Amino acid sequence: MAFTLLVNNIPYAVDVEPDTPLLWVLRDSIGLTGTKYGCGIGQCGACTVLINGLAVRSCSLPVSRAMATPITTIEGLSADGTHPVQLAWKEFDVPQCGYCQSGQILAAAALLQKTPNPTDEDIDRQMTNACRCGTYHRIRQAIHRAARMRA
Amino acid sequence: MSTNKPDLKNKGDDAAGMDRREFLVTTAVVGGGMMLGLFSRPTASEASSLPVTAQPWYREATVPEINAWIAIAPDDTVTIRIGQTEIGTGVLTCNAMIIAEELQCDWSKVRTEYASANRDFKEKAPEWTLKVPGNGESDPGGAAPVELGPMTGVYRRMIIHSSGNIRESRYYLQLAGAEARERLLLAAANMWSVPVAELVAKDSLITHAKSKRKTTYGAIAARAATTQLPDPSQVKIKTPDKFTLCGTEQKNFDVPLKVTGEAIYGIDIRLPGMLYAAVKSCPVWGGDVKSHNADAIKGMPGVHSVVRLPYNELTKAVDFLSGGVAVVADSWWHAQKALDALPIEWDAGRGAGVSSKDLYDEHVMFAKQPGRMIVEEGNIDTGFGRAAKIVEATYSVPYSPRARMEPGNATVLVGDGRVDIWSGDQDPQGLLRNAAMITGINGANVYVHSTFQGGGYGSNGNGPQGEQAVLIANAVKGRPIKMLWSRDEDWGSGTKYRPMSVCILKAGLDANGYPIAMEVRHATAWDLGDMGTRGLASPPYWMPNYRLTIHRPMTHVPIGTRRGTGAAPNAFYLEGFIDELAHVAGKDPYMYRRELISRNPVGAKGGVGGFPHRDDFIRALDIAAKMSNWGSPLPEGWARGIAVDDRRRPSRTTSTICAEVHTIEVSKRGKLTLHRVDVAFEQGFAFMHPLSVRKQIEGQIAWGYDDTMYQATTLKDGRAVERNFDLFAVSRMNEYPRQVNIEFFKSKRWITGAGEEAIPTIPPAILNAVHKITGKRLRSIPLKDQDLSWG
Amino acid sequence: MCGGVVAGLVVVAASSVGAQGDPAAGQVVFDQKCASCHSVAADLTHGLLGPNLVGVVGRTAGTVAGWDFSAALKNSSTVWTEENLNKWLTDSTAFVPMAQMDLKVPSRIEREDVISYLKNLKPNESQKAK
Repeated sequence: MAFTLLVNNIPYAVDVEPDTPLLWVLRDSIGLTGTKYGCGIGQCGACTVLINGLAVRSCSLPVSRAMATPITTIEGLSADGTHPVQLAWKEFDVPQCGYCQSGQILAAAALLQKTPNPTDEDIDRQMTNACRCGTYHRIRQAIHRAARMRA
Repeated sequence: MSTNKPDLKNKGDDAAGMDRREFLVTTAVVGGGMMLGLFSRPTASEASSLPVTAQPWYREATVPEINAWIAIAPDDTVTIRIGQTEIGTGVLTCNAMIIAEELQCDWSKVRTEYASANRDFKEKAPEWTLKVPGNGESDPGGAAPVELGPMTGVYRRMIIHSSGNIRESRYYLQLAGAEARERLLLAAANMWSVPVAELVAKDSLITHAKSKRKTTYGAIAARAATTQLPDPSQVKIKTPDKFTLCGTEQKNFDVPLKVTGEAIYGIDIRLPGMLYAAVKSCPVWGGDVKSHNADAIKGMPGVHSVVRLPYNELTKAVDFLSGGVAVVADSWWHAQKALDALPIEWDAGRGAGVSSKDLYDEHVMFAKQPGRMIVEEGNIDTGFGRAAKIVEATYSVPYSPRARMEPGNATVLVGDGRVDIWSGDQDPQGLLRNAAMITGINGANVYVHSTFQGGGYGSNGNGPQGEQAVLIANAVKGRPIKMLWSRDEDWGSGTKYRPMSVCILKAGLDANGYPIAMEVRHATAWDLGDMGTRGLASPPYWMPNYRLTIHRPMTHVPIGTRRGTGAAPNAFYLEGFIDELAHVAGKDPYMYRRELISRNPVGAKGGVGGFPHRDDFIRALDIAAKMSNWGSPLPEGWARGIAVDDRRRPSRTTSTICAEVHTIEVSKRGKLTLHRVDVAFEQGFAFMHPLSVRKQIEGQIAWGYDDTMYQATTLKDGRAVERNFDLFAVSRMNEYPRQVNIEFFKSKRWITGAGEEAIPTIPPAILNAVHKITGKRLRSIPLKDQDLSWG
Repeated sequence: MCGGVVAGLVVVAASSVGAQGDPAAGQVVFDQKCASCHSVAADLTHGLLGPNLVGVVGRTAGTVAGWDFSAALKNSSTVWTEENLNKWLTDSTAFVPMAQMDLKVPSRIEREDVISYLKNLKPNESQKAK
């Protein structure tokens, strides 16, 4: 079935079954591989994209429900890695293996959009993505830094 | 941004969708020709001069190569090849620092790429580099004991595991950089007809002060490439006191690519004409497919073919854990959907019906029967006979998977007489050899293009995903096949486990509560070298009578290494038990340990039964205790637990000492909060890349916490129950301790590493604190199903 | 249960599951495990992949307006007592086979906490939506 998806402000024509998870349409049909597959059941957050500014787990969203809403993937967060979250991530050298980081960064961007000056409790509640390398210590510091940068 | 430009007119079953000029492989390789410079078109990232490209695999040098490790362009850009894959420990940057330190090049113009396993297969390392310089681990000019043995290919050790990158590779990376520097100097000296000794090389500039002449590395590189040293064995490596780059804070090269989504992991590979494969192997390891009905799914969308993965002598030799079936389709989603619909009947084999309770009972039974003697000091029966009090306890740990975030995958193209593999694999050399075995194609024609890797945590490769992909591609020749495991397949069927083990400890205490005899009976299936005996073979706590026996039940569960290796369970047992003894003795657990460690004689021998690191162990304990304000008052329901370990093993004296204090709270309901961790960590003579060491320790705290609290693979009907994040929990931000303090201390030796050395002390430190609060002595992990309520 | 129980009689457990829970901790559990699908918005809008859960404790399964439930849940005639929620969250597809939600929350403390959080949600209180 033919769909048009608006991803990072670019319209893409795809032809897939309506129940195909958005994650696989992004990765395999369109070729945006920054969004990762970690679990397929919405429990890890590696597949996080932003839809209308909200962090959404794209592995659990059928593509038919993602039409005509602007989708932002990690590739679209900034043109050149200069979103404050990305700058802060680089300043604190946050990623280790890096596989979960696209999701972490988008979740952090969504958090700061809603809560520009998050407390540690805000961060605890909103940053629910899994990181097997355990970069939480630096993620927390980087979010506070990004909040100060945005101010 | 992304180097894969999206295809605006994608038709769903066209697997291309990327810039065809970049991947020149298909027609040339399918046609049988070997193309050099396959991926030579620079990526967008290269154009923007990031130090590593999003597609970090090896490219044939188009500029002069000084040696296999280093190529230098006319503009002084230095390309450094990295043997091991980047799994997050920082090797891509750190190994470049080590080479650049000796090369004395301009660090701002260094870029890295992965070395070629194919070249390593075909080309030997220079003979003179096989000798380790210096006088061993306590010589700053030496190295910690290496185990490079058969790794004499030009890129030596391309495996990344065992926290061993620095330990094993540092000396030959230093030699590579130093040799290149000397050849650049000699080339300049020859060009100017002056003695080499009058030249200075620094930041890619060679100057001859006397004649006021200078040249750059880039200008002299072509000459240097053909200039040989008269006697390279005279090349000396720097001692740490001479380091100007190693040991400094350097950001990791791969980070900028990982914050934009550009970094290409194995799962991200896209090639023209590529097909996708999804796999199910028998979830009871050792089993096989009894029957399957491919016709049932042939009509499903996008299905290309069904490939049987046999469980036979060949596949067992390349690490398959059971037999299975693969569905090949035009997208992974189509492949996995069809696979889920495919009727498969399994022949579970000897593991059918086995539960983890069965295995636990079997381990206990084995522990109580006679075992294999590993250490016997004194006479424990006499010691027990004289003891004022006997303490006995049974500890255990469950099966544990590595649980990487990136599910197992590899992309393979088997052409006419050539194999190309794109994979993030901890063991590219092993994968190359296995691919040769599976396809019958000579290893000289097998190419492994290394990508970034979404976590490692294991060893010997990550499981047979690369090998499975090769087998499938060999059945569907001429098209690249991307094989990807579902999460369920990765955690449940595809991976090897740190084994369950049961440890019965018994101590006889004197009237002061100190042990005069201890017996340790360790039942473990872990037959990889000395995994089961590490740490336990040489306890740091001096006692005149000690016996360790190993008891080996055989199970069908596949066993492999996992971050922490043998030290993780063994330190849990020893550090938990010694805490019990301290409690029985009525003594502070920190002082109790300190006393027992200090009773070791000075200059004790190493190896099995010996313990030479007395003073440094005490230092570590003292530092951790001081950092954590040990002994100062805490609120009700809070306590501190302490533990010390160094991941030592019988076969080598060097190790890395780590002492930790964990400050926790347990609510009356039994909810545990880890508030604060204080870590004293041995630096040895020097760290190469202190930023990454710090990151590693921070990350290991989360890892060890998860082992303590949540993580286990249990078995039912012979198969893993925990196959995804719902039952196998990974803690999130909210559980990470709010305060983490790390202090490094120097010592007079080269340490073993930093990738897992902070893990073994975590479970016992936490459980020791749990006991203080709740009065409950828990002797198994994880805690999630245990009742911590109190009061 | 003795033989004299009349069908339809609701037996109240001696101590309810949610009474032991910590609603603040439960909010964290909700954010981590439920919020990617469900909503607790005060205006009762549904989540991306699951219905709004304000008022769910005590509600009959599959009845809240505006959500396309599975037949399994609609026909289950389950009432979301705290005890049933506890069983549901332990293993949802074991409790209601063929339900769309496929989740297991193995931690007793987490289940108690999130049930107590849900119990305390009131429709006219504004919730901090994710």
